[in-house]
Amino acid sequence: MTSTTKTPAHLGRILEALAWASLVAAFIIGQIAAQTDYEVLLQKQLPDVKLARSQASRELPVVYRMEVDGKESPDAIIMSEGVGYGGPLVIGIKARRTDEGAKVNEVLMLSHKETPSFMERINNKGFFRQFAGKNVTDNFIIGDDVDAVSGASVSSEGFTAAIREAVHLGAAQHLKLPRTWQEQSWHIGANEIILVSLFALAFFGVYRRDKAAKVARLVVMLGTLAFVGFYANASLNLGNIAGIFMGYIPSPKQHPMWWIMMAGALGSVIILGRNIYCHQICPFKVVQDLLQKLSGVKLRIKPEVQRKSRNLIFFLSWIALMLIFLSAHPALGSYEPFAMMFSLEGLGIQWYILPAAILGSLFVPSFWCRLFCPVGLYLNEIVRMRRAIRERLFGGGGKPPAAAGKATKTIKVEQD
Amino acid sequence: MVKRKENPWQFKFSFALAILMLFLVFGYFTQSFLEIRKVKPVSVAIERISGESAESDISPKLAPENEAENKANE
Repeated sequence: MTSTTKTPAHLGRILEALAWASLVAAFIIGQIAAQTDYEVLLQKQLPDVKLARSQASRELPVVYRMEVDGKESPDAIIMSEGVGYGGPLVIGIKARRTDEGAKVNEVLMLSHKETPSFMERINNKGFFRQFAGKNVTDNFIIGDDVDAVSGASVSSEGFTAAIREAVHLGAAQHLKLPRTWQEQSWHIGANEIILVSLFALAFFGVYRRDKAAKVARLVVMLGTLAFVGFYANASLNLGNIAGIFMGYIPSPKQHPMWWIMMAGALGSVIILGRNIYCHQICPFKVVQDLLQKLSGVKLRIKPEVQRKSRNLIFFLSWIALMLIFLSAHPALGSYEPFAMMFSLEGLGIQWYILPAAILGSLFVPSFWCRLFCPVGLYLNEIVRMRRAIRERLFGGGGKPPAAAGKATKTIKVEQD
Repeated sequence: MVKRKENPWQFKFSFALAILMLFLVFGYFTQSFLEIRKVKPVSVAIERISGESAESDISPKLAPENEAENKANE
């Protein structure tokens, strides 16, 4: 190899190392900056109130007493942390002692990482107002005594769980009240069964080539558009993947659908070597395919552009991850139009990204998937790595693993 | 062997769409960057790190005083 061909390869490695180093640095800075200081958060929302941490009990949760105009307020603020759809959240619950125990007066949203459009929807629906007047020994369970906001059900569940844990802990530890409330049970309902069925049908449709498989693929296509897209708005995005690295993982009890989605998407690429999510479950892929059928136009992409798109997506996802890690806020880097497509709620420039993606899909098959989607690239990279590992372990001379070979074929068909 | 006919206008049009999208994605990144600038994560992190190191610089000096206080209390 000549020195002229060596230089770009070396430059590539240096750039790659710098990209990784900068991501690690951004992650560390973001984590340090995101450490929660309750008093600072509270003082931002209540600038005229003097706060003092209650010393009545050393047990959790942290409770603050308030002084307004030199007089002690009868309200106390119970602090709580939880995990929403976008990441961690901090809540202050204003509560007042009563003869029976204590009642919630107001819920203060102090810090969150939710998608701004989801938060707007929650505030507009008056989600937090329903907690005012509740006794601290109430159940605080969605579907029981709390109503979720449709289209932001995961965020609603996250906020409710944070409030529930804090008030119940406060009732038990500080007020020494008997545990009369119900504990939250597993949330396996129709939603979870539908999602598991969609994955099961998708696997069936991929591995079989008969008429039944064709029907299964059609059912999955319509089902995922209606359910994963418009109903649950639960498409995978870069923010979800980055959130895993930052520890923003909801508990399986609180959000089993998240676990099913992750297990289905990652399990299919790691265990089976097939990217089931992108080709079958992603509702935005269905939208693109439908638009393509509608227009009937199939413009080709210059092969050189297609080849370079891989590096472009890596570059875009590097910028996105830098923003996410620095801000510790997954929604700030997720440039995908998925959430906007299925909720029709977005902020600023997001309103232009979605129409542009739709316009592109009308003319170019799988426009977004082929040129911009980071989730698809990463899932396909895992398939590629899996195949490389298998070839190294079982030898490259033999027949390539069937599943991985098929996955590559699917990707190639898409890129033609 | 018949060479597949290339359609330059197709390539140009799809390329233009990709550039438009790229432009918008960078617009989104700029919007997010401006949002992050309000929080100033880098300066907050530096402040916290320097604050912690200042505390750890003070604590060894205080330690003998505290020990003396503790002994006096005993």
